[in-house]
Amino acid sequence: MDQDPPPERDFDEAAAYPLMEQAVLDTIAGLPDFPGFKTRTYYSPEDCEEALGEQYKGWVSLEIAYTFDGPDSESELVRTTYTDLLREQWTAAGYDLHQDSIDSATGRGSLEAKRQDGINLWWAVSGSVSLAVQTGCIPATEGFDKPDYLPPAGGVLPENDQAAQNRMNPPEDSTGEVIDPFASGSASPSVD
Amino acid sequence: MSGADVFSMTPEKVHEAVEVLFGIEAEIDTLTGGLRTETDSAATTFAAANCAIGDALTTASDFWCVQRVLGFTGLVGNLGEYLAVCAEQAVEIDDFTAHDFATLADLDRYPGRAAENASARPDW
Amino acid sequence: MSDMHWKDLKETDFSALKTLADRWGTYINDMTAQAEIITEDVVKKRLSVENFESETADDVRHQADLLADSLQDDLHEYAMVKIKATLEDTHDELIECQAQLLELIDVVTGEYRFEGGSSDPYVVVSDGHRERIAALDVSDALAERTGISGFNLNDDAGRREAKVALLETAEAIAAEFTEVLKAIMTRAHHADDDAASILKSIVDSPAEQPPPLGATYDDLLDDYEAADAERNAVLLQELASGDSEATATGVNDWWNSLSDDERVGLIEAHPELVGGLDGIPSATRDGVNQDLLANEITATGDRIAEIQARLDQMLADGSNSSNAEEYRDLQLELGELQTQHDNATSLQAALAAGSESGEPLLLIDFDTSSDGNAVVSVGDPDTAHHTAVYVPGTTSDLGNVGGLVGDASTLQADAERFGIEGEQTAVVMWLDYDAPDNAVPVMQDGPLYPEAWRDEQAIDARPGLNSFLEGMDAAHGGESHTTLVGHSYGTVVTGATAAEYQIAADQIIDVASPGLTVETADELSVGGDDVWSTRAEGDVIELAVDTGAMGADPTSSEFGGNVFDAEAVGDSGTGIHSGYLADGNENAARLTMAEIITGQRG
Repeated sequence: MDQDPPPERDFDEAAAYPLMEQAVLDTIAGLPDFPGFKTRTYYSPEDCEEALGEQYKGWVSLEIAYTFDGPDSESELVRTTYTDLLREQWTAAGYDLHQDSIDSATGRGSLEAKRQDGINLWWAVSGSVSLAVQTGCIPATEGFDKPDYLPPAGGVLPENDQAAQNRMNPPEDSTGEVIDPFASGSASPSVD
Repeated sequence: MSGADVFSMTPEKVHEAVEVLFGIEAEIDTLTGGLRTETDSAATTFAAANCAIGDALTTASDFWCVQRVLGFTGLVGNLGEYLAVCAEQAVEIDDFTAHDFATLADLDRYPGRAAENASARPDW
Repeated sequence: MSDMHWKDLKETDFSALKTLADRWGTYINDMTAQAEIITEDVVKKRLSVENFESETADDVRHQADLLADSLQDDLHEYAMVKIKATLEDTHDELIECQAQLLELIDVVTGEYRFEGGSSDPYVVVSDGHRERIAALDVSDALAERTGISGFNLNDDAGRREAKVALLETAEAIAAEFTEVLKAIMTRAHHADDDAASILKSIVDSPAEQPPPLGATYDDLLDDYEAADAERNAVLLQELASGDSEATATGVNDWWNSLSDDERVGLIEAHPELVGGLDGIPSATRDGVNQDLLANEITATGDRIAEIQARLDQMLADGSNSSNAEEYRDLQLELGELQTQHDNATSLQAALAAGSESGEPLLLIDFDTSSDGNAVVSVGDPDTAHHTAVYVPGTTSDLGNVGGLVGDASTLQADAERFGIEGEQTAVVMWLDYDAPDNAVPVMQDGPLYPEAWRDEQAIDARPGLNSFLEGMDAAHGGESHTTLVGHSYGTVVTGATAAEYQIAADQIIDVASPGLTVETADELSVGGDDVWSTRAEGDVIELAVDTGAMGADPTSSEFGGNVFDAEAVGDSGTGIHSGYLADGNENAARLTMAEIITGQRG
């Protein structure tokens, strides 16, 4: 078994969630006529020790995902234009575009880019189109259960916000207002 | 006219229910008769081939087509006849007999179901 | 008792059994329609409360409902289970026997012939064959088996000896054919006798029918309703114990034929039987099993506290020595209870964690004894457009059920995320088998091969998985699309089941498989085009694949299925083996699996 120590990471589990949400905001900021997502999903933290060995004891990997609704997923704008734009955007940003399996005939497939901070962005064009943000393995935060409420990155109605329903602490002001998908700057959490 | 403790009744609807029940009785007789013929034919074939399933099929067919289904159609007829009487005159369920259908029901409503059929039934 | 002669087996047209079974099927449908006319047309329409209102009217409606229920129960118990199913089973078995007999006849024709009665059939050398042996005009096979080259055929003595030897060989072959013939006829007689026994049992203790309207109706009604409740309870016990001939589809038919009151009565009286029975709707089983689990946690917790207090007391007053047997028995009971309690709380915690997509977790089955079993669904498989049944592998038990449900939850969330909007997907984590505890050989007076290197546990799992799939299919409200997903040893289970049964699933995905117990994908009942396999480079399972002990490598081109890529998530063979469903890491295989499950591939 590979006993190399885990790589240095700049953030831990608790800090990761706002960072991932910001990554989504940054991504959609470069997408014109953004129609808004339909759903937001937070996957359960994955224990890294099982896959990577004892040296990763106390490390977890996180993943959040946003999905477009049916009509938007079928639209040329989302399926093709956004895919091309993201390929350009991520390349220009110096990200490691390590996966590009978009089929030129069908437009289906995955586009994945890893940022310098180790965060992986995964754009998938399938029956629905989705954007996921993955941390890879990062140190778990002691005593951390789940994040405090973070507003979704745009367009997600409270009833479709699966993450808010069971994967984060409830919002202090749970009025359930719809988030304006085009007001992403003001609604965004920020990590400096 | 009313049933034993009737608060309200639409006699025509009750008559319709009777007709449906008698229709079910007849339909089941027809369905089961056809099934019995085919099952008994197959039973004969397999019995001739020295298969134990031949006689056993006859046993099962007799049980189902005669004992079980006749029991059921008898009960459907019994319910229909009670309702036919109920539409005409108040009769408590516990007091009902097949004779009541022959004497109290409007037999003109049920052609083909002559009173003698009812009288031939066991007096429930 | 069956007197079927081999000639009867040869000449009888057993397809008549299937034709008759189909005829009973049509009849059952027609009769069920008549029962529905009573409830829908008579009770709900013509005799509705608006048309007929009084206590008598209530009694009449109740009687009509009883008649309809009684007919449906009878149709299920007698017409469906005892007659139609028996005809179908007997047809299948006798057709198989007939085919074997015809094959044997084909082999022996010209050289041997059948003799004897129905109970003692045997094979003898035919007259023509004897004549050819006398003329030393025999087949190469007979000559070779006899060793004819060792005889001097150039003199009379040598030829005589050769003829005797050839005849002895032919008679030995006839004796071997006799054994084959007897085996075929014994199997046919058993099938025939079993069928006759079931069909004749129909007259044993027939169930009560509702009483007629008339004298003493009220008293008779009470007796009937008590007998009917008992009848349902007995039937439920037969179904749960496997004593009934009914399949999971039959269970579903029966359950649907019950009234709401009858269902509630059975759930209250026998929740453990209802909760564990394939064919009963998933939501019903979930409600029953969640209650049973909560009750079990309370009951085992209370009993543990009680025993612990007693043990402490015995230790304190020294009676642990004087009553050593009681002390030991209590310790043993405490150990078993603690296992059961730990398993139950682990399962409850997994359920409480919820799913990624927010879909409810349904507890479809569970057993907390020993390693424990559980069947948990993310979403309702009875209403979902797509369903995946995920069978985990080695070391799976209730101690790590949270991770297993998490894997199912990831698959389900992926299917929703990559699927088509409006098409729901449910993913069932099926751990209703004794998964191997280990995959690594240990030395104990020589190498002790681990459970995962043998297929016994997969073989044992087959009927249960097949029944579950059938029950789920029957309970589904419409056209279902089902994918059977196995991981590691779970693929041995899925493969062995699909090789043995015509499973109620459309596709198979095998992830990190040591083999599916077959050599080609076409041997699986979903068909080779619907088998999808993946294995990441460096997965430790490659060692098992190389042995071929569980069948051919499903990712090989010779196997004949579809293969898709998986990235190695993990930096050791064992890590990679368990990393396929790990979220938070890059793995395009998740997208592929979601597309297969949601019907976007193939």
